[in-house]
Amino acid sequence: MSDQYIWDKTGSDAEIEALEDLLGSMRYVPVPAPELPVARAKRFSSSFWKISLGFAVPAAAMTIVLAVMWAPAPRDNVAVNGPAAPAAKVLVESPVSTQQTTAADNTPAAEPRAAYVKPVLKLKARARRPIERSLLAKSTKDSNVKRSLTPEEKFAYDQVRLALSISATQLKVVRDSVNNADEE
Amino acid sequence: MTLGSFPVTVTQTRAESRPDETAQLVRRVIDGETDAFAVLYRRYAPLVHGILLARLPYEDVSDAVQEVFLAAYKNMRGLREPEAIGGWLVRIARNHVVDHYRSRRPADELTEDIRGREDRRAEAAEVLDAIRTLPAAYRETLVLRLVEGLTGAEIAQQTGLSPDSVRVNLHRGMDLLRKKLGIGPQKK
Repeated sequence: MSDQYIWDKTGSDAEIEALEDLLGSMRYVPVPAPELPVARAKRFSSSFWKISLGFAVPAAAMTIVLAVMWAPAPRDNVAVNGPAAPAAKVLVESPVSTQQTTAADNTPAAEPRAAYVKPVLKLKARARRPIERSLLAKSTKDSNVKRSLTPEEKFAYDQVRLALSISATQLKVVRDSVNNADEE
Repeated sequence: MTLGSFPVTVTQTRAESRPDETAQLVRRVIDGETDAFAVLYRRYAPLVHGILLARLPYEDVSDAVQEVFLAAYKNMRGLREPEAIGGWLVRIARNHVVDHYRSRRPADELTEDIRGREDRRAEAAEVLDAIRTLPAAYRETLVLRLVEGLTGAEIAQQTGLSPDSVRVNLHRGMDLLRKKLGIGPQKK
C-alpha cells in the first residue's frame, strides 16, 4: 500500500483503487454546457431599463410642456413692446375701427402700423392731400377681403388667437411668480 | 500519520490551468462569449459535480450542476477575482445544496429504488453515504478524489485550497472512511 497514491495516483493502493472503481460509476459524465439565456447578451438588466424609462418619460413630458409654455412667449413680447404684429391683428379683429382710422388717415400707405406709431403727425400731414376717395375705396376693399375669410382661415385665425391668449396668460403667471419671488 | 513523508512540491497535471489563463477565460465569458463559457464548463463541471455529490442524491446532481453554472453565469460580473473562480463555484454549489433541501424533500425513496435496481450502484451508494457522514472538508475532498478522479494537486488548484490542506483532508478523511466501512488498516 502506498500513501502517495491517495495524493497523485503514483504507486498503488488496492483498497483505494477498489473504492475508485466502485465510486467511478457515479463520476461526472460530460454533457454539453447549459444553454445560456438569450437576454444575457444584454449589458443592462430589465430593471435598469424600467428605471431609465421611469425617468425619461416624465422628463420628456416636462420638456414638451415647457416648450409649449415658453415657445410663444417671445412673439407675445414683441406684440407688447413693438407695434408690428398686434396692429395687424387689431385690424382684422375690428374692421370698423380700421375704417375709421383709414378714413382719418388719408395716406396712400395702407399700413396701419404707421398710423398707430405717430397718429397726430400723420393726420396733420395728410389732411392737405386731395386724393382721399380712391384710397378710401382701396382701403375698404382691403377690409372686405379681410372680412371674407374662409371657414378654414377663420378657424386658423381663432386658433392663433387662442394660442396667443394662452401664452399671454402663462407669461403673466410667470411674471407674477418672478415678481413675488423678487418681493420675497 | 506523518505528512513529512510526502513531497512538498505540487505536481502539475494536464487538467490544471494557469490563473491568468482562467482569469482571461472568465473575462471572455463576461463579455458574452458562449464558447468561453463552454470551456469553463468543461473545466470545472467535475469539480461542481463532486461538491454536489457530497451532499445531494446522485440522481439530482446532473441537473444541479447545470443550475449552478447558470447561476454562476448570471452573477459572473460580480466575481472580483476571476482567477479564483473554482472556489467561487464551490461556494455557489454549496449554497445550491441548501436551496435544494429548502425547496424539496430529500429523495431518500429514490435512492432506495436505485439500490434495489442495481447491486453495484447500491454498493457505491452505501460507500457514498458513509463519505457523506464525514466532516464537510473531508467529505468534499474525498468525493473529488475517489469519485471524480482528481488528484490532490488538481483539487487544490481548482478549489483554491492549499495543497497541504488537501493532503491532510485526504489522509484524515481516508482514515475515517476506513473506520466507517470497517476495511483496511486504520491508523490511530
